Amino acid sequence: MTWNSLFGPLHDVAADAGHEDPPPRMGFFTDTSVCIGCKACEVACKQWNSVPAGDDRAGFDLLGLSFDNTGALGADTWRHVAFIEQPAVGPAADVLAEAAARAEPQTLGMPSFSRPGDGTGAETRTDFRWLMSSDVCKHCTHAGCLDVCPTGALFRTEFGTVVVQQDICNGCGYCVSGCPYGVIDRREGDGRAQKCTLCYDRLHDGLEPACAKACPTDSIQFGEVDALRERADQRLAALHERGVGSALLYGRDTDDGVGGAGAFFLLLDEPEVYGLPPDPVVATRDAGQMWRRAGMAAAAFAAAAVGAFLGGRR
Amino acid sequence: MSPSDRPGDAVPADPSHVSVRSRRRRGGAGRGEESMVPEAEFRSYYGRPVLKPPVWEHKIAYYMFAGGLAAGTAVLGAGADLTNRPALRRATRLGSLGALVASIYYLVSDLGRPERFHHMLRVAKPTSPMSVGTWVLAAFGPPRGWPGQRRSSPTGCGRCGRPGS
Repeated sequence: MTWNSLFGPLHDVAADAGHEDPPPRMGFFTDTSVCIGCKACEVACKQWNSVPAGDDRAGFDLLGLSFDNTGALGADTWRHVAFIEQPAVGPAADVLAEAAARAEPQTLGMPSFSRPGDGTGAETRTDFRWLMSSDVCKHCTHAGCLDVCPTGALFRTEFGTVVVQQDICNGCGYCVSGCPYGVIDRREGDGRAQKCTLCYDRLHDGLEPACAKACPTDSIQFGEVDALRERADQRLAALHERGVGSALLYGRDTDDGVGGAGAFFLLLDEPEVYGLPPDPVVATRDAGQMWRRAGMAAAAFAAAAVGAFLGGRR
Repeated sequence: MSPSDRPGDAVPADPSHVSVRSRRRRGGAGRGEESMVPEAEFRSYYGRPVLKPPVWEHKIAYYMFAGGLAAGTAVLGAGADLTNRPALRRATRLGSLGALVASIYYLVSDLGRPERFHHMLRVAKPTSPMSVGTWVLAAFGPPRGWPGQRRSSPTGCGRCGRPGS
Protein backbone atom coordinates (compact mmCIF):
# COMPACT_ATOMS: atom_id res chain seq x y z
CA MET A 1 0.00 0.00 0.00
CA THR A 2 1.28 3.44 -0.87
CA TRP A 3 0.44 6.57 1.01
CA ASN A 4 -1.18 9.45 -0.75
CA SER A 5 0.19 12.90 -0.29
CA LEU A 6 -2.11 14.93 1.97
CA PHE A 7 -0.60 18.39 1.87
CA GLY A 8 1.89 20.54 0.05
CA PRO A 9 3.01 20.78 -3.58
CA LEU A 10 2.51 17.71 -5.70
CA HIS A 11 4.05 17.27 -9.11
CA ASP A 12 1.72 14.65 -10.59
CA VAL A 13 -1.67 14.55 -8.90
CA ALA A 14 -3.18 11.84 -11.10
CA ALA A 15 -0.23 9.51 -10.53
CA ASP A 16 -0.43 10.17 -6.78
CA ALA A 17 -4.06 9.09 -6.95
CA GLY A 18 -3.07 5.81 -8.57
CA HIS A 19 -3.47 6.47 -12.29
CA GLU A 20 -0.82 4.76 -14.37
CA ASP A 21 0.79 6.90 -17.02
CA PRO A 22 -1.86 9.63 -16.84
CA PRO A 23 -2.30 12.41 -19.41
CA PRO A 24 -1.16 15.91 -18.39
CA ARG A 25 -3.14 17.67 -15.69
CA MET A 26 -5.82 19.88 -17.22
CA GLY A 27 -7.34 23.00 -15.73
CA PHE A 28 -8.58 26.53 -16.13
CA PHE A 29 -6.85 29.88 -16.01
CA THR A 30 -9.54 32.54 -15.59
CA ASP A 31 -8.16 35.96 -16.47
CA THR A 32 -10.73 38.28 -14.93
CA SER A 33 -9.08 41.36 -16.42
CA VAL A 34 -10.70 40.57 -19.76
CA CYS A 35 -14.02 39.22 -18.45
CA ILE A 36 -16.93 41.24 -19.82
CA GLY A 37 -19.59 39.61 -17.63
CA CYS A 38 -21.59 38.12 -20.50
CA LYS A 39 -22.39 34.95 -18.52
CA ALA A 40 -21.98 32.80 -21.62
CA CYS A 41 -19.99 30.40 -19.41
CA GLU A 42 -22.91 30.05 -16.99
CA VAL A 43 -25.32 29.33 -19.82
CA ALA A 44 -23.02 26.94 -21.67
CA CYS A 45 -22.33 25.04 -18.46
CA LYS A 46 -26.01 24.70 -17.62
CA GLN A 47 -26.85 23.55 -21.12
CA TRP A 48 -24.05 21.06 -21.58
CA ASN A 49 -24.32 19.51 -18.13
CA SER A 50 -28.13 19.72 -17.89
CA VAL A 51 -27.85 21.64 -14.64
CA PRO A 52 -31.38 22.52 -13.52
CA ALA A 53 -32.54 25.97 -12.48
CA GLY A 54 -32.88 24.59 -8.98
CA ASP A 55 -35.38 25.00 -6.19
CA ASP A 56 -34.17 28.48 -5.48
CA ARG A 57 -34.59 29.21 -9.18
CA ALA A 58 -30.98 30.35 -9.36
CA GLY A 59 -30.66 32.92 -12.08
CA PHE A 60 -34.37 33.74 -12.18
CA ASP A 61 -34.53 35.62 -8.92
CA LEU A 62 -33.33 39.19 -9.05
CA LEU A 63 -30.85 39.43 -6.20
CA GLY A 64 -30.15 43.15 -6.56
CA LEU A 65 -26.38 42.51 -6.53
CA SER A 66 -25.37 44.47 -9.58
CA PHE A 67 -25.93 42.18 -12.58
CA ASP A 68 -25.41 39.02 -10.55
CA ASN A 69 -28.55 36.96 -10.09
CA THR A 70 -26.97 33.60 -9.26
CA GLY A 71 -25.15 34.81 -6.14
CA ALA A 72 -22.67 32.01 -5.56
CA LEU A 73 -21.45 28.64 -6.75
CA GLY A 74 -23.65 25.77 -5.64
CA ALA A 75 -25.29 22.53 -6.64
CA ASP A 76 -27.12 24.25 -9.48
CA THR A 77 -24.49 26.84 -10.38
CA TRP A 78 -21.18 25.42 -11.53
CA ARG A 79 -19.95 28.64 -13.10
CA HIS A 80 -20.76 31.89 -11.35
CA VAL A 81 -20.02 35.35 -12.71
CA ALA A 82 -19.45 37.93 -9.98
CA PHE A 83 -20.10 41.62 -10.61
CA ILE A 84 -18.43 44.13 -8.33
CA GLU A 85 -18.98 47.86 -8.61
CA GLN A 86 -16.18 49.95 -7.17
CA PRO A 87 -15.00 53.52 -7.16
CA ALA A 88 -11.86 53.07 -9.22
CA VAL A 89 -8.52 53.48 -7.53
CA GLY A 90 -4.94 53.55 -8.70
CA PRO A 91 -3.42 53.24 -12.14
CA ALA A 92 -6.34 51.39 -13.69
CA ALA A 93 -8.38 54.57 -13.33
CA ASP A 94 -5.60 56.68 -14.83
CA VAL A 95 -5.58 54.51 -17.93
CA LEU A 96 -9.30 55.09 -18.33
CA ALA A 97 -8.97 58.83 -17.79
CA GLU A 98 -6.19 59.02 -20.36
CA ALA A 99 -8.25 57.15 -22.88
CA ALA A 100 -11.22 59.41 -22.20
CA ALA A 101 -9.08 62.51 -22.78
CA ARG A 102 -7.82 61.21 -26.13
CA ALA A 103 -10.98 59.66 -27.42
CA GLU A 104 -13.14 61.12 -30.15
CA PRO A 105 -16.87 61.22 -29.46
CA GLN A 106 -18.33 57.85 -30.32
CA THR A 107 -21.79 57.16 -31.61
CA LEU A 108 -23.29 54.48 -29.42
CA GLY A 109 -26.56 54.40 -31.33
CA MET A 110 -28.49 55.55 -28.31
CA PRO A 111 -31.01 58.35 -28.46
CA SER A 112 -29.48 61.15 -26.46
CA PHE A 113 -29.00 64.85 -26.90
CA SER A 114 -25.88 65.20 -24.81
CA ARG A 115 -22.96 63.08 -23.85
CA PRO A 116 -23.07 61.41 -20.44
CA GLY A 117 -21.71 63.78 -17.82
CA ASP A 118 -21.99 66.87 -20.02
CA GLY A 119 -24.93 68.27 -18.13
CA THR A 120 -23.23 68.29 -14.74
CA GLY A 121 -19.69 69.10 -15.72
CA ALA A 122 -16.56 67.00 -15.74
CA GLU A 123 -15.69 67.72 -12.14
CA THR A 124 -18.76 65.84 -10.89
CA ARG A 125 -17.90 62.67 -12.72
CA THR A 126 -16.49 59.87 -10.63
CA ASP A 127 -14.13 57.19 -11.67
CA PHE A 128 -15.71 53.82 -11.40
CA ARG A 129 -14.69 50.31 -12.18
CA TRP A 130 -16.52 47.13 -12.67
CA LEU A 131 -14.87 43.90 -11.67
CA MET A 132 -16.24 40.76 -13.25
CA SER A 133 -15.05 37.29 -12.56
CA SER A 134 -16.23 33.85 -13.53
CA ASP A 135 -15.78 31.56 -10.53
CA VAL A 136 -15.63 27.78 -10.73
CA CYS A 137 -14.56 24.70 -8.76
CA LYS A 138 -10.82 24.96 -8.14
CA HIS A 139 -10.03 21.26 -8.72
CA CYS A 140 -7.51 21.45 -5.88
CA THR A 141 -4.26 19.52 -5.78
CA HIS A 142 -5.37 18.37 -2.32
CA ALA A 143 -9.14 18.41 -2.49
CA GLY A 144 -10.96 18.58 0.83
CA CYS A 145 -14.19 17.24 -0.69
CA LEU A 146 -12.44 14.21 -2.13
CA ASP A 147 -10.50 13.46 1.05
CA VAL A 148 -13.58 13.33 3.26
CA CYS A 149 -15.96 11.54 0.85
CA PRO A 150 -16.83 8.26 2.64
CA THR A 151 -18.28 6.52 -0.43
CA GLY A 152 -15.52 7.16 -2.94
CA ALA A 153 -18.07 8.95 -5.13
CA LEU A 154 -15.66 11.86 -5.47
CA PHE A 155 -12.58 10.74 -7.31
CA ARG A 156 -9.46 12.08 -8.99
CA THR A 157 -9.67 11.65 -12.73
CA GLU A 158 -6.74 10.84 -14.99
CA PHE A 159 -6.73 14.55 -15.94
CA GLY A 160 -6.09 15.49 -12.32
CA THR A 161 -9.57 16.92 -11.90
CA VAL A 162 -12.09 16.09 -9.15
CA VAL A 163 -15.47 14.64 -10.17
CA VAL A 164 -18.54 13.29 -8.32
CA GLN A 165 -19.79 9.92 -9.57
CA GLN A 166 -23.52 10.46 -9.52
CA ASP A 167 -24.33 6.75 -9.35
CA ILE A 168 -22.29 6.37 -6.16
CA CYS A 169 -22.94 9.54 -4.12
CA ASN A 170 -25.38 8.89 -1.28
CA GLY A 171 -25.71 12.51 -0.24
CA CYS A 172 -23.98 12.35 3.15
CA GLY A 173 -23.04 16.01 2.79
CA TYR A 174 -19.52 15.68 4.17
CA CYS A 175 -17.93 17.24 1.07
CA VAL A 176 -20.04 20.38 1.57
CA SER A 177 -18.26 21.06 4.84
CA GLY A 178 -14.97 19.69 3.52
CA CYS A 179 -14.60 22.19 0.68
CA PRO A 180 -12.43 25.15 1.77
CA TYR A 181 -13.90 27.30 -1.03
CA GLY A 182 -17.63 26.66 -0.46
CA VAL A 183 -18.10 25.27 -3.97
CA ILE A 184 -19.81 21.89 -3.73
CA ASP A 185 -23.34 21.59 -2.37
CA ARG A 186 -26.15 19.06 -2.08
CA ARG A 187 -28.93 19.53 -4.60
CA GLU A 188 -32.37 20.00 -3.06
CA GLY A 189 -34.82 17.34 -4.15
CA ASP A 190 -32.06 15.22 -5.64
CA GLY A 191 -30.05 14.55 -2.52
CA ARG A 192 -26.67 14.17 -4.19
CA ALA A 193 -23.66 16.47 -4.13
CA GLN A 194 -23.06 18.41 -7.32
CA LYS A 195 -20.25 20.50 -8.71
CA CYS A 196 -18.21 21.30 -11.80
CA THR A 197 -16.76 18.21 -13.48
CA LEU A 198 -14.44 20.24 -15.70
CA CYS A 199 -16.58 18.61 -18.42
CA TYR A 200 -15.07 15.18 -17.85
CA ASP A 201 -17.13 13.79 -20.74
CA ARG A 202 -15.86 16.44 -23.16
CA LEU A 203 -12.26 15.94 -22.03
CA HIS A 204 -12.55 12.26 -22.95
CA ASP A 205 -13.41 13.32 -26.50
CA GLY A 206 -10.59 15.84 -26.69
CA LEU A 207 -12.93 18.82 -26.42
CA GLU A 208 -12.48 21.82 -24.17
CA PRO A 209 -15.05 22.37 -21.39
CA ALA A 210 -18.27 24.11 -22.38
CA CYS A 211 -17.57 27.33 -20.45
CA ALA A 212 -14.12 27.83 -21.99
CA LYS A 213 -15.53 27.06 -25.43
CA ALA A 214 -18.27 29.66 -24.99
CA CYS A 215 -16.10 32.42 -23.51
CA PRO A 216 -15.91 35.18 -26.16
CA THR A 217 -12.92 37.02 -24.68
CA ASP A 218 -10.80 34.03 -23.68
CA SER A 219 -11.12 35.10 -20.07
CA ILE A 220 -11.62 31.39 -19.37
CA GLN A 221 -8.62 29.56 -20.76
CA PHE A 222 -8.46 25.79 -20.73
CA GLY A 223 -5.33 23.72 -21.11
CA GLU A 224 -2.52 21.87 -19.42
CA VAL A 225 -2.02 23.32 -15.97
CA ASP A 226 1.74 23.73 -16.41
CA ALA A 227 1.27 25.75 -19.60
CA LEU A 228 -1.53 27.80 -18.05
CA ARG A 229 0.64 28.67 -15.06
CA GLU A 230 3.31 29.94 -17.40
CA ARG A 231 0.75 31.97 -19.33
CA ALA A 232 -0.67 33.38 -16.09
CA ASP A 233 2.78 34.49 -14.96
CA GLN A 234 3.34 36.26 -18.27
CA ARG A 235 -0.03 37.96 -18.13
CA LEU A 236 0.57 39.11 -14.56
CA ALA A 237 3.96 40.54 -15.51
CA ALA A 238 2.43 42.33 -18.50
CA LEU A 239 -0.29 43.90 -16.35
CA HIS A 240 2.18 44.98 -13.67
CA GLU A 241 4.31 46.54 -16.40
CA ARG A 242 1.30 48.48 -17.60
CA GLY A 243 0.76 49.84 -14.12
CA VAL A 244 -2.05 47.61 -12.89
CA GLY A 245 -0.33 46.95 -9.60
CA SER A 246 -3.41 45.44 -7.96
CA ALA A 247 -3.37 42.43 -10.30
CA LEU A 248 -2.61 39.17 -8.53
CA LEU A 249 -2.78 35.47 -9.21
CA TYR A 250 -5.09 33.42 -7.01
CA GLY A 251 -4.63 29.66 -6.68
CA ARG A 252 -1.44 29.71 -8.74
CA ASP A 253 0.92 29.17 -5.80
CA THR A 254 1.67 25.47 -5.33
CA ASP A 255 2.73 26.15 -1.73
CA ASP A 256 -0.71 27.35 -0.65
CA GLY A 257 -3.12 25.50 1.64
CA VAL A 258 -4.49 23.22 -1.08
CA GLY A 259 -1.20 22.60 -2.91
CA GLY A 260 -2.22 24.89 -5.76
CA ALA A 261 -5.50 24.88 -7.63
CA GLY A 262 -6.16 23.24 -10.98
CA ALA A 263 -8.38 26.21 -11.78
CA PHE A 264 -6.74 29.49 -10.86
CA PHE A 265 -7.46 33.15 -11.42
CA LEU A 266 -5.99 36.52 -12.22
CA LEU A 267 -7.78 39.01 -9.99
CA LEU A 268 -7.68 42.81 -9.94
CA ASP A 269 -8.44 43.17 -6.23
CA GLU A 270 -8.13 41.14 -3.06
CA PRO A 271 -9.72 37.66 -3.20
CA GLU A 272 -12.25 38.60 -0.49
CA VAL A 273 -13.78 41.17 -2.83
CA TYR A 274 -14.70 38.37 -5.22
CA GLY A 275 -16.04 36.19 -2.40
CA LEU A 276 -12.98 33.94 -2.47
CA PRO A 277 -11.31 32.86 0.79
CA PRO A 278 -7.93 34.61 1.17
CA ASP A 279 -6.06 31.60 2.54
CA PRO A 280 -7.93 28.33 2.03
CA VAL A 281 -6.48 25.24 3.68
CA VAL A 282 -7.49 21.64 3.07
CA ALA A 283 -8.79 20.19 6.36
CA THR A 284 -6.88 16.95 5.71
CA ARG A 285 -3.68 18.79 6.56
CA ASP A 286 -4.66 18.28 10.20
CA ALA A 287 -5.87 14.68 9.83
CA GLY A 288 -2.87 13.23 11.66
CA GLN A 289 -3.32 15.56 14.61
CA MET A 290 -7.06 14.92 14.61
CA TRP A 291 -6.59 11.14 14.84
CA ARG A 292 -3.97 11.54 17.57
CA ARG A 293 -6.47 13.55 19.58
CA ALA A 294 -9.21 11.02 18.85
CA GLY A 295 -6.85 8.31 20.13
CA MET A 296 -6.21 10.30 23.30
CA ALA A 297 -9.94 10.75 23.79
CA ALA A 298 -10.50 7.01 23.32
CA ALA A 299 -7.75 6.23 25.83
CA ALA A 300 -9.31 8.61 28.34
CA PHE A 301 -12.67 6.97 27.74
CA ALA A 302 -11.24 3.51 28.35
CA ALA A 303 -9.39 4.72 31.46
CA ALA A 304 -12.59 6.23 32.85
CA ALA A 305 -14.44 2.95 32.28
CA VAL A 306 -11.72 0.91 33.97
CA GLY A 307 -11.65 3.41 36.82
CA ALA A 308 -15.40 3.14 37.26
CA PHE A 309 -15.16 -0.58 37.94
CA LEU A 310 -11.90 -0.66 39.84
CA GLY A 311 -12.91 2.18 42.13
CA GLY A 312 -16.46 0.99 42.75
CA ARG A 313 -17.56 -1.26 45.60
CA ARG A 314 -19.34 -4.54 44.98
CA MET B 1 -27.47 49.72 -2.27
CA SER B 2 -25.97 51.51 0.67
CA PRO B 3 -22.26 52.29 0.53
CA SER B 4 -21.44 49.74 3.20
CA ASP B 5 -23.01 46.99 1.12
CA ARG B 6 -20.44 47.43 -1.59
CA PRO B 7 -18.20 44.41 -1.84
CA GLY B 8 -14.68 45.13 -0.90
CA ASP B 9 -15.55 48.03 1.33
CA ALA B 10 -14.76 47.33 4.92
CA VAL B 11 -17.76 48.06 7.10
CA PRO B 12 -17.01 51.31 8.94
CA ALA B 13 -16.03 50.38 12.45
CA ASP B 14 -18.41 51.45 15.14
CA PRO B 15 -16.33 53.51 17.60
CA SER B 16 -17.98 51.84 20.59
CA HIS B 17 -16.97 48.42 19.31
CA VAL B 18 -13.41 49.52 18.79
CA SER B 19 -13.09 50.75 22.33
CA VAL B 20 -14.57 47.56 23.73
CA ARG B 21 -12.21 45.52 21.63
CA SER B 22 -9.10 47.42 22.60
CA ARG B 23 -10.10 47.35 26.25
CA ARG B 24 -10.50 43.62 26.03
CA ARG B 25 -7.14 43.27 24.38
CA ARG B 26 -5.44 45.25 27.08
CA GLY B 27 -7.04 43.04 29.69
CA GLY B 28 -6.03 39.83 27.89
CA ALA B 29 -2.87 37.81 27.78
CA GLY B 30 -1.02 40.23 25.52
CA ARG B 31 -0.97 42.92 28.19
CA GLY B 32 0.80 46.06 27.14
CA GLU B 33 1.34 44.94 23.56
CA GLU B 34 -0.45 46.92 20.93
CA SER B 35 -1.08 45.20 17.62
CA MET B 36 0.89 46.70 14.75
CA VAL B 37 -1.88 46.01 12.25
CA PRO B 38 -5.52 47.04 12.48
CA GLU B 39 -8.05 44.46 13.55
CA ALA B 40 -9.13 42.36 10.56
CA GLU B 41 -12.56 43.19 9.23
CA PHE B 42 -14.73 40.61 7.52
CA ARG B 43 -15.02 41.36 3.83
CA SER B 44 -16.71 39.29 1.21
CA TYR B 45 -18.79 39.46 -1.92
CA TYR B 46 -21.82 41.57 -0.91
CA GLY B 47 -21.38 40.26 2.63
CA ARG B 48 -22.34 36.76 1.55
CA PRO B 49 -20.76 33.82 3.39
CA VAL B 50 -17.64 32.48 1.70
CA LEU B 51 -18.26 28.86 2.72
CA LYS B 52 -21.34 26.69 2.47
CA PRO B 53 -23.18 25.95 5.71
CA PRO B 54 -23.18 22.24 6.62
CA VAL B 55 -26.21 20.41 5.23
CA TRP B 56 -26.48 18.38 8.45
CA GLU B 57 -29.35 19.13 10.75
CA HIS B 58 -30.55 17.86 14.12
CA LYS B 59 -30.42 14.19 13.08
CA ILE B 60 -26.64 14.21 12.97
CA ALA B 61 -26.51 15.58 16.50
CA TYR B 62 -28.85 12.77 17.61
CA TYR B 63 -26.69 10.27 15.76
CA MET B 64 -23.58 11.49 17.53
CA PHE B 65 -25.27 11.33 20.92
CA ALA B 66 -26.85 7.92 20.34
CA GLY B 67 -23.58 6.52 18.97
CA GLY B 68 -21.70 7.75 22.03
CA LEU B 69 -24.37 6.35 24.30
CA ALA B 70 -24.15 2.95 22.58
CA ALA B 71 -20.36 2.91 22.96
CA GLY B 72 -20.49 4.01 26.58
CA THR B 73 -23.12 1.48 27.61
CA ALA B 74 -21.29 -1.27 25.73
CA VAL B 75 -18.12 -0.57 27.67
CA LEU B 76 -20.07 -0.55 30.93
CA GLY B 77 -21.70 -3.81 29.83
CA ALA B 78 -18.31 -5.37 29.23
CA GLY B 79 -17.21 -4.23 32.67
CA ALA B 80 -20.36 -5.63 34.22
CA ASP B 81 -19.74 -8.91 32.45
CA LEU B 82 -16.17 -9.15 33.67
CA THR B 83 -17.08 -8.24 37.24
CA ASN B 84 -20.22 -10.40 37.29
CA ARG B 85 -23.02 -7.87 37.73
CA PRO B 86 -26.02 -9.46 35.95
CA ALA B 87 -28.47 -6.59 36.43
CA LEU B 88 -26.07 -3.97 35.14
CA ARG B 89 -25.10 -6.26 32.29
CA ARG B 90 -28.69 -6.69 31.11
CA ALA B 91 -29.49 -3.00 31.39
CA THR B 92 -26.40 -1.84 29.56
CA ARG B 93 -26.81 -4.44 26.83
CA LEU B 94 -30.37 -3.45 26.13
CA GLY B 95 -29.45 0.22 26.34
CA SER B 96 -26.53 -0.24 24.00
CA LEU B 97 -28.63 -2.12 21.46
CA GLY B 98 -31.37 0.50 21.58
CA ALA B 99 -28.92 3.38 21.24
CA LEU B 100 -27.19 1.61 18.37
CA VAL B 101 -30.43 1.13 16.46
CA ALA B 102 -31.33 4.78 17.05
CA SER B 103 -27.92 6.00 15.92
CA ILE B 104 -28.07 3.93 12.72
CA TYR B 105 -31.56 5.23 12.03
CA TYR B 106 -30.48 8.86 12.42
CA LEU B 107 -27.31 8.37 10.39
CA VAL B 108 -29.05 6.69 7.46
CA SER B 109 -32.14 8.87 7.35
CA ASP B 110 -30.02 12.02 7.20
CA LEU B 111 -28.48 10.96 3.89
CA GLY B 112 -29.66 12.60 0.69
CA ARG B 113 -30.10 9.12 -0.75
CA PRO B 114 -30.73 6.83 2.27
CA GLU B 115 -31.19 3.74 0.08
CA ARG B 116 -27.53 4.05 -0.87
CA PHE B 117 -26.26 3.78 2.70
CA HIS B 118 -24.22 0.69 1.86
CA HIS B 119 -22.11 2.75 -0.54
CA MET B 120 -20.29 3.89 2.60
CA LEU B 121 -18.84 0.37 2.73
CA ARG B 122 -17.25 0.54 -0.74
CA VAL B 123 -14.12 2.21 0.59
CA ALA B 124 -12.23 2.70 3.85
CA LYS B 125 -10.55 6.09 4.04
CA PRO B 126 -8.54 7.23 7.05
CA THR B 127 -8.75 10.80 5.73
CA SER B 128 -12.53 10.71 6.23
CA PRO B 129 -13.69 10.52 9.85
CA MET B 130 -17.13 9.60 8.53
CA SER B 131 -15.73 6.59 6.68
CA VAL B 132 -13.87 5.43 9.80
CA GLY B 133 -16.99 6.01 11.90
CA THR B 134 -19.08 3.96 9.51
CA TRP B 135 -16.64 1.08 9.68
CA VAL B 136 -16.55 1.25 13.46
CA LEU B 137 -20.33 1.15 13.46
CA ALA B 138 -20.35 -1.74 11.00
CA ALA B 139 -17.88 -3.70 13.14
CA PHE B 140 -19.68 -2.86 16.37
CA GLY B 141 -23.23 -3.43 15.15
CA PRO B 142 -23.47 -7.14 14.29
CA PRO B 143 -22.16 -8.41 17.66
CA ARG B 144 -24.64 -6.06 19.36
CA GLY B 145 -27.61 -7.17 17.35
CA TRP B 146 -26.89 -10.86 17.14
CA PRO B 147 -29.57 -12.52 19.30
CA GLY B 148 -27.33 -15.42 20.25
CA GLN B 149 -24.79 -12.96 21.61
CA ARG B 150 -27.30 -11.21 23.79
CA ARG B 151 -26.46 -13.40 26.71
CA SER B 152 -22.77 -13.38 26.10
CA SER B 153 -20.31 -10.58 26.40
CA PRO B 154 -20.53 -7.35 24.48
CA THR B 155 -16.93 -7.92 23.64
CA GLY B 156 -17.99 -11.09 21.85
CA CYS B 157 -16.12 -13.36 24.22
CA GLY B 158 -18.36 -13.65 27.21
CA ARG B 159 -18.44 -17.43 27.12
CA CYS B 160 -14.76 -17.60 27.62
CA GLY B 161 -14.50 -18.64 31.20
CA ARG B 162 -17.97 -17.92 32.59
CA PRO B 163 -20.16 -20.96 31.94
CA GLY B 164 -22.82 -19.82 34.39
CA SER B 165 -23.72 -16.60 32.69
